[in-house]
Amino acid sequence: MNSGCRRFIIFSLRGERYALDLREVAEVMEPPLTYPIPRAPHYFAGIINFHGTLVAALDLAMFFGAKPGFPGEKILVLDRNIANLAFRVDMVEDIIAEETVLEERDGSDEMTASLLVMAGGEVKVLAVRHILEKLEATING
Amino acid sequence: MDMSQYRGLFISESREHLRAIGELIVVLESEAVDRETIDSLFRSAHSLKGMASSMGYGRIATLAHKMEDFMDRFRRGGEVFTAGAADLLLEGADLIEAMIQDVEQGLSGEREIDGLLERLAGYSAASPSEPVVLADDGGRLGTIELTHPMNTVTESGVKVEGPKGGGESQQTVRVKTEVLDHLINLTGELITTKHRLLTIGKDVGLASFGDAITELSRLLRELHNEVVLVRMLPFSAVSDRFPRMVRDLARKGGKDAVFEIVGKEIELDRGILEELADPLIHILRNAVDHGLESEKERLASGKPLQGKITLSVSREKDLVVVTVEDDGRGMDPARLIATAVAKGVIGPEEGRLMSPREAFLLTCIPGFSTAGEVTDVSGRGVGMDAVRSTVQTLGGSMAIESEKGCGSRIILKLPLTIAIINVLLVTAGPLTVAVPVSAVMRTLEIRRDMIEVCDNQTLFYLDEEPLPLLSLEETFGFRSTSRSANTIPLFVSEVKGRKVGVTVDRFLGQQEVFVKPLGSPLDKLKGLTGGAVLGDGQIVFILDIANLF
Repeated sequence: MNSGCRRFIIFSLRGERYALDLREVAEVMEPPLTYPIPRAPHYFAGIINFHGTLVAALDLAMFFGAKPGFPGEKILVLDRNIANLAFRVDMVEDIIAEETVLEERDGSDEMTASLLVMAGGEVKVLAVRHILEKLEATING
Repeated sequence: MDMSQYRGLFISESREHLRAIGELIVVLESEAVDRETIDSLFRSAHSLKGMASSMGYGRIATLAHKMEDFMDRFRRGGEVFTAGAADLLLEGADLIEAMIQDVEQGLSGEREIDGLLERLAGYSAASPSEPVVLADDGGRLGTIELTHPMNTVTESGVKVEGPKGGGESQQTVRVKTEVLDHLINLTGELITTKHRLLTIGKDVGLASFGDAITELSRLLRELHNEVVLVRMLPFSAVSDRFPRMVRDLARKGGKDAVFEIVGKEIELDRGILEELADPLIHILRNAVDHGLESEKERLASGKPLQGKITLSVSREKDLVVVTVEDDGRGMDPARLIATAVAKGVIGPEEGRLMSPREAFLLTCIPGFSTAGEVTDVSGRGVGMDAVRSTVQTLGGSMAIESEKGCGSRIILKLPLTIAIINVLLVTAGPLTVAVPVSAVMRTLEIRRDMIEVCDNQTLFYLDEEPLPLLSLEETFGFRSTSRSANTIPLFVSEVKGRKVGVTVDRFLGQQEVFVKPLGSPLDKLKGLTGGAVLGDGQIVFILDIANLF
């Protein structure tokens, strides 16, 4: 496979489909043991030990405003150069190459980097750096 | 010949020479110095010129050469060395540093130097300010201790031979700083694993297993000590820049100051030294800008016109004590308290009960400043809180002593090493958290009937001193259970300059832990300084008590 080609990891949150640029993801894993983070906003699921590095797990659905209740099945750990952060998501569906995307449009909001139009419908590509900025700005309430 | 392979070496060695040049110029300006000192200055300029020339950096070589000529006027010509001469030489050193930075970034290292060369050539001591005459021979050294100006330390963290060379060149090597960081991290992980094995050992109950762990612990202690040793750097690695900085600040503020460094040979972990640089710069700026009075003011109060700032370093058991002392105007605790009350930082009753020591620590509260005017060097009401926070994050503590009219003293007590610290493990609701032992003044249990309520503030008396009570559980958003128990465990710490009692559910004991950074975004969460993994795999957060409540 051409390593220069962009690839996306497609996952779901409460029935909606989202994507991350695969270069931003270090690992996909089963939810490990998490420990609570004192005074962190409720959308932080806890902290995990990721190969010796402490990483905060964010319940992405709750961060987007969903009610608590459905614990995600997968953890997407972000590249350490971006942040010590992982996203808890409902399900990982696929990894796709850019070529399979029919069209890529501009994102509709600040959390969306772009919109992928595919055969199966539209998928929002998350703007990780904007998510991180918002987390940092709101972490102390 | 391809010289690019030597570029890294050229950059690091040039910087060693520039550091020495900067320091020696400040000494020259301060007092009469002996021939050896001026010769050292020459050697550094000369070596710099030679190295730059061989690498093909013509402008660096030319400027170093002209600076050497300029110095010769004072060595051979007998001219007085004025502050103006020092300014020109320091400007030259700064320009060379800028060109070296260019070289480092892959640029040509060629900047405009003609203007400075003209000023060097056309210099005359027409308006000398506090001229300094070079002693012919045997003149005493300046106030700055320069034990081995030519033996210095590289950014890579290992001692290297000075330009004079010597017989020990076979015994030292350059090591990348990342390697040293990796070594301490690996040692930290091993210590975590040892605690894990200790936990397993308790379940297994085998005597031979226990013996093996005891042996492992001994070896780990030895390894830790050795790793710490190779990471040690003398304090001079950060302090060498301070004489120049203090000199420039004093000149800018129209003040006359003598600056002394004592104990610069004392060694600390490079991680601590790196973190310590900015806090010390801030403290020194404060000392020059706010501590020292103007000449007029000093004259009126019968003090010598020249102010004095001393930065001293000493060892105290496993701690390094860094003190910055000035003989300036000092601080008035009553004025600090009045400002804090006026700004609503503390209540009037709280202010009335404050000791002078507590009042001085009010300066560490974010946004607190009594500086009458804001200057571009200090007095913005930011800084001392960051200083204190950094020191506590390093596992150290800070105290302030001051006497109105006589001066101030800032005392920082720091561990010798970073990354592996002693913590007190406590529980608060469902959480286990770690409190750096350096932030705990005392642990005790009090009876419920010892708690009083005064102005909506729960407090208790410790040795007749009323201490406010804060609950760790409530701070974390849990319902406090400890208040219903007969006895309540608590530790005494300092928050906003005040001694307070922090109640917890239970003390689990003390342990050494390997501090892991939290990284973004958790490093923005107030009240936490890092995390650690315990022997059973549990992750605990290390609290920043000063910023938690």
